[in-house]
Amino acid sequence: MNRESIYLKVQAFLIDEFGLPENLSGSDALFSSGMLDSMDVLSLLIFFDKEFGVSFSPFEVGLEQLDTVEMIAAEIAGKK
Amino acid sequence: MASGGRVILVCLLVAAAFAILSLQNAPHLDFKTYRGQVGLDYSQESMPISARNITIEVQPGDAQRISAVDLQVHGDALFHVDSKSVEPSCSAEGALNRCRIILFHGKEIHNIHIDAKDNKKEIRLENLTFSVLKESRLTAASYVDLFYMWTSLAVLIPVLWLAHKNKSLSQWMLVIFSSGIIFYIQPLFSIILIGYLVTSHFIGTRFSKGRGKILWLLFAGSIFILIFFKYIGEDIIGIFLDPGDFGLVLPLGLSYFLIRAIDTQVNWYRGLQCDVSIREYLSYIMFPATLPAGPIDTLSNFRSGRSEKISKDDVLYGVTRIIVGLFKKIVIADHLIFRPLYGSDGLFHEIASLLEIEAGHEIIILLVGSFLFVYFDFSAYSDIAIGLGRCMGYRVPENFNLPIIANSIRDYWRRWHMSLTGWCMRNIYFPLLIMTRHVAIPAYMVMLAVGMWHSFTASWFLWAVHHGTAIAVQGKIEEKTKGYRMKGVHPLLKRAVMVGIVIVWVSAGHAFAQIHDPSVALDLYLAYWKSFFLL
Repeated sequence: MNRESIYLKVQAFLIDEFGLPENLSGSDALFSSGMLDSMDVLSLLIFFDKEFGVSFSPFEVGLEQLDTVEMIAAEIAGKK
Repeated sequence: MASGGRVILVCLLVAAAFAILSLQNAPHLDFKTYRGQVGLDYSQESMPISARNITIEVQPGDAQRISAVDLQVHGDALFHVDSKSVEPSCSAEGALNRCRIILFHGKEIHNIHIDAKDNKKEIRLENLTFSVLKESRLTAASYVDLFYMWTSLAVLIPVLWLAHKNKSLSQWMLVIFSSGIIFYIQPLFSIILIGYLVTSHFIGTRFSKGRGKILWLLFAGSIFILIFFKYIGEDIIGIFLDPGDFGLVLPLGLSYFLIRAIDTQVNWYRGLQCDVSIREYLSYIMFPATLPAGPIDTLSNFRSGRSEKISKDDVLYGVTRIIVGLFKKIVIADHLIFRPLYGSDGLFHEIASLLEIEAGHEIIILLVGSFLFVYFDFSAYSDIAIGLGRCMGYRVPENFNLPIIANSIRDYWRRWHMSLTGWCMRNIYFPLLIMTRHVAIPAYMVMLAVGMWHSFTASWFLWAVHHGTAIAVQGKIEEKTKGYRMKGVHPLLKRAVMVGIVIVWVSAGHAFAQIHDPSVALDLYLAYWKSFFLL
């Protein structure tokens, strides 16, 4: 799975699961803007695991490294 | 710049003058309350007072402000406080006189002696119990801290302006300035701290990327210093660290230093910010504007938040924030809230000096007032720090976003002390969430960390349970009611009700935040909730 298809799947999940705007761009800040809060992270982590088989170790990444769809796609692509 | 410079100098000097004027009567928030029986055998329920004089020994460190005695006297008795006689307020209940004495102390130690008047043998004391209220720690920053900081900064800032274009020189000046202050106040601590920071920078930037053992070693160093100086070492080294008799037994800004150090160490482990120089690292950790009371900046924000040039707008904005902060601190927090609640004849002493805390609207006023006091007091420090930071050419992050209008407990924690909650989210909540895949456990752990960060006491543990439970319950409710929208209720009304609920809940937690004795705090907490049923 390439970075582009990861990007599209993550974007669709965020719109569907959290009701984010349809025009959510790859550079929109998710956590630092308050669009998502830290409690929403759990759903996101479970999604990464189920959809891409990717999980992180506790201090491997921080929320600031998962702050946009592009950053998430890059982190997941880097793990695969 | 010239006129801006004059304005800021005047403001800083005015602030320093306020601080000096307030030194004699500096308000403090954090009281310890003890209740117990001293000088009497526990098994002895009553004793003839004429048999011997009874002395309640007030221990050094206790009763620095006030002590209260509540006792029941059969007959008549005379009270002495050292050489001074005291008229207790007594009310006759049958043959019993129920008496209460409230004594205000300075720093000198007083003993309380009770003698029989006229030496009547039938006079007895029963149920001699007493409570001692002592002010143990200062609010987020004391007037002394601020006095030092502000007057020193009044001198430093103009020099920094001249040197600002030379980043290296100006940042070394920041480091030397902060180190000098810490060394003057706490020489031992400053040497250990700077040694530790230099070592951790050397190791962290070179060897820690992806290496768990080194990360844990650095963590252990930070946590050891925190525990040793803040909790264990307080009594041991306190006597060496108070050269001016200013009561500064806790190393200045210790928690803030180490919390920044840990944040940076996690970044190094992730391979981030490894290019930071020792100069920039030390100036970040010891940035003078945020030294006494935060906010807790991140290293990346500190590095990117430095402006190349200090503009007139920066200075005007900074001065405005300082004035807003001073107004909140001096006018609202100290004079409008603190004195009626915590002053010598304030509501707190009235309630806390009672042996039985009874429900009533006063309890609600006390705890809601306490919440508002801490908000205005603490956010004032943040305003001043943000203002000073801007005048020095740095953008310090915001720390409060009107938490008094939060419409849920989670929303409250997104608005209250944001830099600390952000730190906890990054370094505790998120790693634990990855480990446990459970929301409640990290939420409790975050609250526990915040509680222990304030003080390592059972009361703060109960405070953490209080807030952790609310966050966990809210998470569950939101999970179960996802997509549900309440119909027929005006949004403004709904918002007002939710804001009210949050204020009531958060205020309840202040029972634990202001009283260290967990049993007294719990009494106050339960009385608070009972009070709502009596309204």
